[in-house]
Amino acid sequence: MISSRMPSNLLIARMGTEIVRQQNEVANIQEQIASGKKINRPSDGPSHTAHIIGMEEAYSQLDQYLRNSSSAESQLALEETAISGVTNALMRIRDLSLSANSGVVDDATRSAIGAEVQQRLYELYDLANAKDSFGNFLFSGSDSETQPFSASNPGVYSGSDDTRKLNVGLGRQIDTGDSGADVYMRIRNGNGSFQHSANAANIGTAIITHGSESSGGSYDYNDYEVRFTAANTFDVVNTTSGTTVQTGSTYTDGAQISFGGAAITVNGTPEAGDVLHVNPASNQDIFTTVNNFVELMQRSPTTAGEKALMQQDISILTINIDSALDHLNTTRSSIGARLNSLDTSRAENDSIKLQIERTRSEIEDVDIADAVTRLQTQANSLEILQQTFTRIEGLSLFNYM
Amino acid sequence: MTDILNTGKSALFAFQKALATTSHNISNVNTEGFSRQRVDLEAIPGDGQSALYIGSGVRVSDVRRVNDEFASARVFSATSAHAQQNTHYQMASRLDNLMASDGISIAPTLDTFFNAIQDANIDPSSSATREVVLQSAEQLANRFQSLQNQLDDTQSEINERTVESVKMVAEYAESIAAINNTIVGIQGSLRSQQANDLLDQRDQLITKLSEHIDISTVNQGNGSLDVYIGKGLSLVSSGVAQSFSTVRDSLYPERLQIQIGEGVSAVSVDTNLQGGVIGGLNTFATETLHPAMQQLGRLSLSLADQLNEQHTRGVDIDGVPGGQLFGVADPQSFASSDNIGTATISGRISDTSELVATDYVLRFDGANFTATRTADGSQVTGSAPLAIDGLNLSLSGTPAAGDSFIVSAVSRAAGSMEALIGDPNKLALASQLNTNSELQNIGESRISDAQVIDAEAISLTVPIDIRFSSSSRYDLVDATTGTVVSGNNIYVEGQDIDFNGWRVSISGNAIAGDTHNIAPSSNAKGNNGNGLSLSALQNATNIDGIQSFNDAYGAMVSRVGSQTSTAASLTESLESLRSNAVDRQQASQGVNLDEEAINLTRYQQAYQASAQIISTADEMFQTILGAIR
Repeated sequence: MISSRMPSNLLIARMGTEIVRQQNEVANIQEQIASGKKINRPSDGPSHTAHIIGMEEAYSQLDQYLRNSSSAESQLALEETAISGVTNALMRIRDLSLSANSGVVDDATRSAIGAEVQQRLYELYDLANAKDSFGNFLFSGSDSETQPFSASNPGVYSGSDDTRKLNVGLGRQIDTGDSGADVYMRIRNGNGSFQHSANAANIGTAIITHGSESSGGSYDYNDYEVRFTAANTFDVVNTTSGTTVQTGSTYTDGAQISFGGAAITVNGTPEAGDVLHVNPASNQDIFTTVNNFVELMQRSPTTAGEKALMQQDISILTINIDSALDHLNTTRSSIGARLNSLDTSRAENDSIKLQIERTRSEIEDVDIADAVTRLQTQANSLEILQQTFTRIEGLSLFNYM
Repeated sequence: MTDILNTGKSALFAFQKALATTSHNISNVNTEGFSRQRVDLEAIPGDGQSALYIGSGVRVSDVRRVNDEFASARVFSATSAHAQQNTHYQMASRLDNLMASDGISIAPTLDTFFNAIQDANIDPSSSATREVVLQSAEQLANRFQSLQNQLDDTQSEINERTVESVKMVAEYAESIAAINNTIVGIQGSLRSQQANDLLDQRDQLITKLSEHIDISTVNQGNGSLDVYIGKGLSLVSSGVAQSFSTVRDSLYPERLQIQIGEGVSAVSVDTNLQGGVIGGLNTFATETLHPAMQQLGRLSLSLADQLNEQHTRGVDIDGVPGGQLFGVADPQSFASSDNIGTATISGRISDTSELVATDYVLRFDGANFTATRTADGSQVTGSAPLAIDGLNLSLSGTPAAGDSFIVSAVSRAAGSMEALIGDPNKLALASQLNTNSELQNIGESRISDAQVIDAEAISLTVPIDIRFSSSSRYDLVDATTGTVVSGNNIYVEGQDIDFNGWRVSISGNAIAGDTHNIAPSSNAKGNNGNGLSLSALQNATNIDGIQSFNDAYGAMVSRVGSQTSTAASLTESLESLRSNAVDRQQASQGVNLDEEAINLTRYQQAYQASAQIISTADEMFQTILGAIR
């Protein structure tokens, strides 16, 4: 530049270009300050654009997960309330079964107990047929518009066995409920492996007072009968296979009898022809169990055999109510665990949201203080340029001629 | 004395011319392309008759145009390079701004759509939430359409600007040819004299031409200048300009082709053209716009296909299998207008996951077709029907050797995207199959939910029971007829059991007699199994196996952004190169007013002095007259 000539118009044209360039620069900074963002279009940060779009999606998904979590939480809380109602009713029914088992209960008391149990049974149906905030049945699985249980049809579940799941986090699904079958129906009766009963036609008073899997063995899931051939002898027959596994064994009151992996304790005095049953445990729903109680209270035992049978049946009833209570508690703790995990995932989602917000802000947001300083600097240099222009523009030899 | 008078006269005339030239320079100080002119003075030698050699004055030997030919050549090339990038930048930044706006972007509608499905999953039996899904599906399809429309509009703008530029180039070429003729005429008659101002005008026209296209020039000895474009195609030769025009592209109906020459000698040139506005439009179209269209199209096809496929795996509120959620047009193909044969090509998509964001050019060599990806130039050769990148291309009619076709598998797809379901009840949110572990089961084995892995399997909805014959073996039994369809399978906890197009697994201890049912869902209004699978597609990386839908869109926007930003910084550096070249050119040819002011003074003084010579001569003459008197 030292030796070259500077044509007059070039000097001015150059300043014009420079002024326009600086004005653009000022406009850019002004846009950043106005929008608060460094990146106002993809070309402002091509390497960040895809990342920002990805973060926006992730953010909106997290919001969705939070909405799903709230919905799952309210659904589970409703279920928890219903199940806790069922538990309370069942506790009362258990108390009643204990008082019904007392030797001095007469027909009038039984009838009074029966009437209360019947009321409690209706309460159970009401709770099991509860609806959620959308008007769907809580316990009918995905068949949400069908009433799951009906008093006229005990032991029948009309809902569906599957439940609704919701996404509450990336790759995390949670059951927002449990099917009525799982809550009220899949309860093992007896001791979980097998159930026992006394033949209704028994004359003697022998009943099974305790049953468990024999030590070192496991129950083979066959049906067995203990057949008394006399007051002190019995046979054991496997009715599944039709084979007799014990013949003429000696009966002692209170002694343990073992067969097929099962061990039972029999008390009382049998008579020849009396039969005791051992069958594999099966699922027995709460309603059937309670309904059995109502039916039991309609009996009026008079003979020793009938009384023994009553005692046997009430003790079985109590066992089944206990199993039901256990089962409900397990369900409640599973609900509690899910509510806990909802809290955890909500906290996680919130913190990821915060992290995304922070990262996005770092990438996208403009440092206002810095931007204002840059604007000031740029504006200053533009102003100086403009002042120089008026000076240079006036420089001409012609002014002195 | 007469000598002195003549000398004075020659000086007066010479400085008059010098003053006139200086005034010409001053008056053209703001004329674009003007080269300052200099007066070359030379002494007139004496007549040699006297013993002393005394010169006889001054004369103007030449009015010279100060011009650096090499600096000008650099201005031409820098102008066309800058104009190319600048055009690319201007066009790209329009797309850039477009994609930044929330009203056009696909990403937010994609989020809304998937969120709507998740909201519907919360209460699948509600027709209100289902309605929201349909509306957001409609919006999503509309977004694809309107983004495609914007891209199509950009293509139209490219065409309009190309037509305009081509017209300008043709006009400049005509003018240059005309000036060539005039210059040859003038310089021929004036001998070594230059037609200074016409040369300036011609240089100026070439600079303007460079703004539209990259050119090279060759100076002919007679003063005319030949102009070439592309790879040595003659645009102006002496006094003749070739015609330069646009015609419809023989392959792509919506694109233009540039041709030089007329009639049978016409040559199409657009692939050779670089530089200037035309080159910039060309670069923008091939590097930014067309890839964006292809990526958008492929995204719309993958999205529609994957959602459709999952949707047909579920059932609607009435238990009927879901239909197509989105419709996208089949690939389009065009036969070149130059084809001799009658063949047409039709394309079908066989697998959207294999689609590549490109068009294909098919050429027939008489026996085989060669398909070339426009995106990367890779080729596949074979006879029709041709299977390439998830496409099946079939032929009807008879092709002739040399015929060519274009197949747009993806680049128009987005514009045809539509949401097909209008009835909220037809949204298939429920699983098609329901599973159930029978309550009578003694064992604790439980069956999982059923996944549909092949929605088109014929026996998909045949109810099947899985029945355990022992704790370690199970049979699959047709629940209606009771026939064993697959017997004595070994039970492995948690292992997938695939049958009739579905998949389940069983866990827990089984006991002989345990039975599990798989049957079509009935009354599954509250089931959201398929809704969950649909919403899971949001995060699935099904595009090229590494990208989700949102990633693919982000990559497309990112590409436009990075091309815009590259074009911007290139434009800036080319702008400074151009202004350097102009500075250098102006440094030699520009008018400096101070310099001219000095010249003005100098020549004026010389002029005054020359007038003094005449007056001195007159006084000398009067002195002699006086002496005689």
